[in-house]
Amino acid sequence: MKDMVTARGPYDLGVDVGAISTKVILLKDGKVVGNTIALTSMEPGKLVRELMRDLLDEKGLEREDIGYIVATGQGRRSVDMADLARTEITAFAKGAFFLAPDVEIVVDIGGHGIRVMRMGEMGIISDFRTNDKCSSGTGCFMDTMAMALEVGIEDIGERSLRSMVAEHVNATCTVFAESEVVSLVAKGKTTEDILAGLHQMVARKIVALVNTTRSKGKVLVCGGVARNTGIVGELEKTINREMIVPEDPHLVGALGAALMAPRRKDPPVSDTGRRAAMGPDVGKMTFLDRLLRWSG
Amino acid sequence: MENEGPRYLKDRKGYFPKDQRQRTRKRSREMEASVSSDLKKQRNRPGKMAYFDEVLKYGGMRFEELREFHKKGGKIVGTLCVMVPLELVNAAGARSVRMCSGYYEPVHPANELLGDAGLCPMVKSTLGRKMVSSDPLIDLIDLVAGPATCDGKMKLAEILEDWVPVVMMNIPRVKVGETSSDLWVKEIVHLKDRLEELTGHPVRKKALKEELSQWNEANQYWSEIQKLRRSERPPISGRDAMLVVQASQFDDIRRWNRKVKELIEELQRMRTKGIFAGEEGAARILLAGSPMIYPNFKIPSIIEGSGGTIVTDELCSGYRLMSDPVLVDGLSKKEIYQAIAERYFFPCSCPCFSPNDERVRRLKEVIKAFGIEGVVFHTLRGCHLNNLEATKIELALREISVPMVRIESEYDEGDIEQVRTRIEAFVEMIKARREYHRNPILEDVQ
Amino acid sequence: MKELFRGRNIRPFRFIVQLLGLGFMFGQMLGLPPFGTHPMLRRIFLPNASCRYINEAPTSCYYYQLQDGLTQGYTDVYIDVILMLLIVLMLIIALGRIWCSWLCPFGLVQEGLMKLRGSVGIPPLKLKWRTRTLLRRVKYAFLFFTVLLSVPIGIGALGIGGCQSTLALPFCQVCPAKGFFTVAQQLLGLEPWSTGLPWIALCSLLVFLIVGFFIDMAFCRVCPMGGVMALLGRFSLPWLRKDPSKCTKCRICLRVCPLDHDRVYEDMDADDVGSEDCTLCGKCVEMCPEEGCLTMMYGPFSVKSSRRPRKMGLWRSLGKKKGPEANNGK
Repeated sequence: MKDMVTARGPYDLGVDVGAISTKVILLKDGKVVGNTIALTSMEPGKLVRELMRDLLDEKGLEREDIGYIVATGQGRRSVDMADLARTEITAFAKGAFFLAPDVEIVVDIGGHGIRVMRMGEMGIISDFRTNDKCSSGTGCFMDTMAMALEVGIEDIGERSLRSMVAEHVNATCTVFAESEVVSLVAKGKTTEDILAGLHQMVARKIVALVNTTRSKGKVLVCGGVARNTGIVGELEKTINREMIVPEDPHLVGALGAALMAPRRKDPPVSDTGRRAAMGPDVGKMTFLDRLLRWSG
Repeated sequence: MENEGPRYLKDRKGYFPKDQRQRTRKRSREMEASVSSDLKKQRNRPGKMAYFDEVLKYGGMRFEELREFHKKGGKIVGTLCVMVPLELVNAAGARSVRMCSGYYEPVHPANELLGDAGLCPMVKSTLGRKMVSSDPLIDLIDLVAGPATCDGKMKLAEILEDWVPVVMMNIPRVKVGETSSDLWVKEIVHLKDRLEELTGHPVRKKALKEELSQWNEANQYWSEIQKLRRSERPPISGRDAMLVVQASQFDDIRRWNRKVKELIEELQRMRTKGIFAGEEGAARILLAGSPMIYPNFKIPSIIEGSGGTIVTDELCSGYRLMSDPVLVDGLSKKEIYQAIAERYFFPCSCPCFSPNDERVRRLKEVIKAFGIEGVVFHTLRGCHLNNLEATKIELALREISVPMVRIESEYDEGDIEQVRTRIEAFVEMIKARREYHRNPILEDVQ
Repeated sequence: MKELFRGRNIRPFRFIVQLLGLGFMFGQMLGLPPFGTHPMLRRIFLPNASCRYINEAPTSCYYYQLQDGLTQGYTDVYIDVILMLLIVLMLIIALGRIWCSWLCPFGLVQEGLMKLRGSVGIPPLKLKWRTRTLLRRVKYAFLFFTVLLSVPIGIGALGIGGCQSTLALPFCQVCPAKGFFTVAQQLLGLEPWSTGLPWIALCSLLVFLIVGFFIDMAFCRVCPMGGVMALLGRFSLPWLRKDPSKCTKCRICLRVCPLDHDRVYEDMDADDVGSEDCTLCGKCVEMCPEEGCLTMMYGPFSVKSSRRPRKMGLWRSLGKKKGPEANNGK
């Protein structure tokens, strides 16, 4: 609202100030021009400004080139330069609809929250669920577990896939799950098996939340945790229906935010049109080139 | 029940230190003050609302009146549920006070007593309020009328017996069948006997009829307010409407009637002048689920602060307080009691009853009549009955494509941000849907 | 009077109609000119709004004619059986059980009993569901046995033709209305004390008066003519409509219903909640506090809908305080 310019530039900035990381995406005419990501700091406004400057410098753009800034995520209100602030629920749904309009359920597994959106017509949510006062299965939860097992957060997916027999983990509470993990370690179980067990437990929990929507359609899983191949694999096994994961699932929220810039018309609905719109301009993170990973 | 001494707190002496009471009182007072000032900040608030603020104020005007009344030997009866007929209490010459508490702080002493029993915070708060007497009003109560509706309320009545005499009322929780009405009539007559014993003042038919007509009048005014809220832009906010109707549980109903009449006149004037409480284009929301007792206006405040307006509610702390009049056909006393009993029993759609299909039916009807765009279903943590019914209601509402969001809340302010995110998303969703349905290119709805 | 038609209270209006009906039957006796002297006119039988035992009554209840014909034989099959039956059927279809609660003189007597009970302060005795459903069948049993008795009596070939004079009109012999009207006329001096008082009918009258004092409309629950009308009830034009979406299930309708007709309260699917027990007295309609929930219908036309009491107070007609002006919605 602050630095509103009368002549709007052609670029839109989508900012997703999540609980753990802040994602910024730059969009022009429905094409992703660039993105950056950083850990959320205590002053999200400042952080976003820095990220934006970096991004602009990288692309050789000026502040005036940016038409609208739309913020989302838990810290959306602290982004003082945003023209618009929308909740992450709306943003993720918007982004997911853009990526795959035939999806019925969107699951966003973020740093602090799990959100399940049921899509209605034209990408408008018809129903949503969130985790209630329980962080189990979120990014923070996985962080804690990785720390307890002394594994890097990037590796837990890969390592859990190597497990032969998954251990059962029953506790859902972060703290109790941690002590259960510690006791499993003490029993001499391998890290791989414990991780697989954790992933199973998380997948069960997410599937239960998905099933409360009583919908049988296709599912899109996004959010930072969707990069964890272990959880995605377990979800595929348990969810019992078609499931897709976009290539960069953590950016869906920022993308949705950028898409919500007020001037923007809905993108062409045909799939090929979107691929053409999104494909070639993507920078080092190939965003939609190999857009969706379909799984049976 | 008869003088076995306390069961839940045997060594009461010094159990709750004095400073705990002081602290609880202070925090309660502060909470009420901040909620009240929030309410006063609403734009286009009718000036007549000031009276209702005063009635519900912590240690306010009504408390002073009741204290005077009590000092003169008058009796004050606390009610734990909307199913207690206040007409009867008033006809017996006693004054009624709704005991259900919306204060957050008294939850802690109750937790100290019971442990975290997974109990509804409203029950805990009510109990805690009595235990440390965090509110001077609570000390004035001579008798508690507690229908055993849900498990929490039932045990609350039992525990409260350690502190104050309680009339437990056995409410039939299965509505169909031959005996339900008879049983409840008997319970009502029993309550009458206990009230008579308390006040030493028989319930006379004339007084009862007078009280009934006063309460029916109150009902009528309430339906006037509901009618006003039905319009495209309601002239009164949902919080204010809840405040008005909750004030009736404490106030002298004659004065309440007078004041509400003035309020209605003011609202009508406002409407003709084009002054409205809600913002333009706000999402029309219906509030349902567990009760929200003043000052626990957390969720209504969030809704009305996030671009929604509460057009009506389906709460036992709102609409249900004044939903039906008592209409009597015969003149005999028994018929009057039966009429009272049935009015407080049959139309009540509390989830403690089974079967409870009326609730869904009624909800659908209200949604149609008030042009509701979304339902916020609020459950207090531990309110199993509402939690269970939420699923049923959600599926029923899906049939008429009205979205519903379930919000579970506690008596603390820790979850405000989470709740706000969800409500905001809900409002965004409603507005997007509205936009979509209005856009004639996409689909011609009108 | 305007208020009445606009539809606040059905009861006073109904009372006037009942009085008019009574006047119609007793009119000739009180010296009013007869409505017509043509024999055909006197042979038009009303479903139930009259009694043979009222002296000089212009006509009589069809149930009398049914028994009379069956036991004594019809003089003219076309006129007495077919034409009369058609006329009665038409009357039933036209007014349904309006005959019961709006015109039946014995119904008026029972309402008087209700009023008396109310003024003494005794609550009505409500029947259990089981008893109610049983009583519902009793009226059909009466109907069945009347026909069963009448036919053999009428058939002289069976050799019991001699019974005709003593056992004629089997139901009228036990009908409390007969007892009531005979005694009433004699007490009022409109008719000399005859030698043969109808003792059986008097006994049954006594029983129904005592029972009727405690149980509302006791005789209406078993009246066989009501049974005939109940059978045809679904074809008759007046009916009771319920808009289930407006119903709050407050149970006022069931509580005030003199015949404990529970369909009005229970049924949440049907449009027509009348039939069978409902005599269309309209009590539920006037007491129902929900706007437009219950409606008295005549064919496709609505006659009177329930509405929120606009005047405050306990009894709708007694409220003295003026409420806020009803505003017109939006």
